[in-house]
Amino acid sequence: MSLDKLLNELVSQKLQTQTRRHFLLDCVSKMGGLALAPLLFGCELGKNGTANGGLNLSDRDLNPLSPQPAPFLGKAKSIIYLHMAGAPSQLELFDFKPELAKYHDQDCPASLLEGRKFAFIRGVPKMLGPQAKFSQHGESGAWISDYLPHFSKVADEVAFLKAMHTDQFNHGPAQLFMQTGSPRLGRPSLGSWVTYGLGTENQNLPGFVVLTSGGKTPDAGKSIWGSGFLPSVYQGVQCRSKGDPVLYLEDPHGMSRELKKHVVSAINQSNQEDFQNFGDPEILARINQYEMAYRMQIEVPEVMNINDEPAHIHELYGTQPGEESFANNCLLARKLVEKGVRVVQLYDWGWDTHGTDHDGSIDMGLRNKCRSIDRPMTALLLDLKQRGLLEETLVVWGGEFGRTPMQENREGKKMGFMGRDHHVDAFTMWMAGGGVKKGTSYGITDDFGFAGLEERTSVHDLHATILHLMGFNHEQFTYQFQGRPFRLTDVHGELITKIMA
Amino acid sequence: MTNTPLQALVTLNDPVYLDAAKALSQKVWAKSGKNPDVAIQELYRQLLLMPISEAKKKSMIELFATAKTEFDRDPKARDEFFPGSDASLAALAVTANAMMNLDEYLTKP
Repeated sequence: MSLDKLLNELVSQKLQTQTRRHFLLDCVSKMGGLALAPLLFGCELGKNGTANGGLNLSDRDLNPLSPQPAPFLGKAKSIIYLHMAGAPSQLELFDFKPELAKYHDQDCPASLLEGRKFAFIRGVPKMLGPQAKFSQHGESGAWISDYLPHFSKVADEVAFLKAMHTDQFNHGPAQLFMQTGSPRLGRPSLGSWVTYGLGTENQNLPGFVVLTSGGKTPDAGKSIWGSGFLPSVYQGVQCRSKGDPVLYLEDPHGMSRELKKHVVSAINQSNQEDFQNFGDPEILARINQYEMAYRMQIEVPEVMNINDEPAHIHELYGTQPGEESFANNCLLARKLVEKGVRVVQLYDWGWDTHGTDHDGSIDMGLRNKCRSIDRPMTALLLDLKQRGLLEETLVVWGGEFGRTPMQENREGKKMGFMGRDHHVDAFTMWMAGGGVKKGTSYGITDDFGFAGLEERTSVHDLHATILHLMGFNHEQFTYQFQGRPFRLTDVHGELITKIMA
Repeated sequence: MTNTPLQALVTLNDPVYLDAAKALSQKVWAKSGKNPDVAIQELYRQLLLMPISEAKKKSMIELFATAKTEFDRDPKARDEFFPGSDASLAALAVTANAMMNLDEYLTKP
């Protein structure tokens, strides 16, 4: 009896609190809310009150991940983005600055400090010469350090962007900026835009898969692969990097596939009714996600299993099944792209080399960290190439900002280890594969590697270029939200044509 | 509220959610006088705190019937799914599992 009383109490409470959806329903049906509808729904859905009454649903609404032709011919069909969370030092990897070595341990010139703020550097820091040995590689003569011996061998496959710059010197906002085009929360990620625009080739797998390594997820959290104001069916789906890639893929004991199909169908029929009543696009996303879940149960265990890969592939990547590692994730990325997944985003944490401890030191920790990605990322390029997939897969590598040519002096004191502070004015990224001009380098920094002198590339320029390579004009690829069209690049972005094939 | 296929897999397949669906079904089944129609309305009322619509009731009754037919035909599967139940109770648990995956159940007002 007491349970009944409790239930009755809950029922009356529920009646008292009108839900947001009921409010919206009333607005649309009773207030003649036609003018309001686009503002509320922010998309083509919710056309209540049209001549035939109900909601107009396009095929795209019902099959949001079905493959779409790009607006114009893009060279790349899929993208693998390797984000080194924490921001690796360009001065130890790709941006060779012999001049900086001469100033090692000398006071930083005042001209570099005037009017500038750093995340941790205070007062006058010492300069910090390059701690790696550099040499030129391949026919392109790319400068790559001895921290990346494997990668040096594929120098001719990539295009370097050496004068990247950003305007955010803290990890969270900088990661958001790099992945969503805005340092503030709420915008769709690059991967969501691409999945929204192109759908995906394999309807049994999510269009946008995220894998992390390095023991931590990025500082900015899941929003950096979020869908923002795009329907949430386009958000990145994070698979686990250790143990089962996705939990609860198995149906309950005794429930057949056929019966599960009926369960999902009954759920979706009921949700469909709610969608007809309320027009909330999130319900539509829910319906699609349940269908995806049902289909994923078959294909995910197979594609996410690296145990059965041949020995030479494990050798190539340096993979050890069962571990959480960047190497395993690189191999998975190749498998996913091969299966028709549109976007694979890898995050590897542990690049924030401030010099506060051994692992965070430029001369030791960074070298070890590089060792953990050197072979896998090289293998990824070689493996994609040998399968003929590199031509249609865009591979992007980089962090959220760079590191200072000065040695960090947290709270004005000398640090125990050699470290570099966050730096916004210059850092290096590279791209390879679909539509990228091999063996090129774009951007020149000054003698200290402090700031770009020529061919500077903003985050928006990078995004514009990536979208271009995927077949979009970044100025025309928009989504209507809150009364105005939004772009990944907002009102910025110039194509970097010199690195296009 | 999370809206990903991973969320769907959890609330569909995680034993915790299934155990809850089974326990609720047991209670409601006894109370309904073993009447599927009454039981389905009561399940919905307990989960959503309002009466079920006609269309949803129809979907859920169909699901119940399909599940019951399958468990009648395959008692081994029924025992695996819900040990100690009969086909009707197991089918009601399948229905409760579906209701606990409705958008309106998962989405807080």
